[in-house]
Amino acid sequence: MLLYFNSYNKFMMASTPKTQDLPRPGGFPSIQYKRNLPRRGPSGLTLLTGITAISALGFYWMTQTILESRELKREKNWSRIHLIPMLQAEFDRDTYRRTQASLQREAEIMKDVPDWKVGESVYNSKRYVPPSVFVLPEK
Amino acid sequence: MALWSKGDKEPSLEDQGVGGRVGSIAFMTLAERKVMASMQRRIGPNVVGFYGILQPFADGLKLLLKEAVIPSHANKVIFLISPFITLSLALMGWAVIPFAKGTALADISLGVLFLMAISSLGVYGVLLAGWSANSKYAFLGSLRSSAQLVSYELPLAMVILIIVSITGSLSFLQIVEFQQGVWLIIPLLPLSLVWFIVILAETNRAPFDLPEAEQELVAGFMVEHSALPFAFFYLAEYGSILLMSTLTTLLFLGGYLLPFGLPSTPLLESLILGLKSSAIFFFFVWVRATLPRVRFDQLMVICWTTLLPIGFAFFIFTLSILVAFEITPS
Repeated sequence: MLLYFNSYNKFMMASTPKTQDLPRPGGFPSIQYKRNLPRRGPSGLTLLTGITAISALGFYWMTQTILESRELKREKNWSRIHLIPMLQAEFDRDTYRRTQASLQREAEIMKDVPDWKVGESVYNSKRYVPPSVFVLPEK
Repeated sequence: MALWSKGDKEPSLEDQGVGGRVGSIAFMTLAERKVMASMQRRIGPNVVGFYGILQPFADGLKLLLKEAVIPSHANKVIFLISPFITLSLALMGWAVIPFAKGTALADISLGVLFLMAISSLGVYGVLLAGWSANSKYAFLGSLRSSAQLVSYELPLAMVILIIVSITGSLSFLQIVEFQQGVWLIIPLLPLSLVWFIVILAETNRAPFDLPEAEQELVAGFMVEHSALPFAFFYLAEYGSILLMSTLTTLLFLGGYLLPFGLPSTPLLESLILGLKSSAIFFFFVWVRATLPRVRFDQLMVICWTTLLPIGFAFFIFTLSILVAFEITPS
């Protein structure tokens, strides 16, 4: 059998020219497998540039805002610092008035007690101690 | 009278706030159905009331009157408590939201921190609901949902951290007041895109609605809940969408401020806040009607390898700008 086939092949080779399946001269055209979609909208570069530009402008405005808020905060702090002497003076005036009223009240209450010194300090010291208790008017 | 918390003759600010939220959540469901209907060339609900305006109340009444079926294998206490947890957490976040200048229910200086803590706790309601129902679908839904919520909280927190580092405050009121200069969406335009993706995922909305993917899990973690408990979950879901819309408005769109520094009144400011939030809600619906659902691995990849690195990079970039130009907020 083998012999037979070999001889048959020899016979075929002799009768037809030797050929091989090849692409046609010049090759096949490339197959288009992509969908034909229109390219819509701005390109990637345009988008990147646009977003960067908007962000940069926004960061500039943001900087201005932070600087302004910092300035406002500084102004508020300094206005409070400058108000301190006035508030302290008001407090001193109020304290003096309340102390005098308290002394009057004490003299009125203790007028029948002999040897009572009005306004005598309860501390064994001559140093001034601001009053820690105020009598507020009853409602 | 016993309905009002303080026993006052008039509803207090808190009660008005909660009542207003629940009412607006009800109308949000109608708005979503109407908008989606017109995007899909349908009519949408148009039978109940004039132009279908009473549809949410009909739905709510139906859910109220139906029998609440409790599965016999369910852990009944947790099963019934979890909707309450979810809804009350979704409503608690509103305490620190300013509706106009100085009209937040609780104007605390750590409002942003409070809101983030409350939104983190929201995972527990989902987890408890899915576990206690003792059903495969509910359990898988709750696993997916909690993994998603926990993952997407990181980019969410990163975006908020950047805004906090720019404005130098954790108070919503001060963050909004800062935007009198410039609405933060302009300098943080790339970051706002990250934020929009993150809030979609954080509220379990399309295209990230895997926890309740209808084709696979029916309704996700709340599949076994019916009637009123289901309605509570539904309200909580839309409540968190409304909260996220308002949060977006506050953080990026200037909150209650009119554009170009125009003068306004408190009523007008509330109206402006509502309009901006509605625009963001429209975006939610638009995305749902447009995009197909992503796969779960895609969801995780988007979070961990895309959004989070972008967030970190932008955080470092913003801090570098602040330091380089010596404009760190004092």
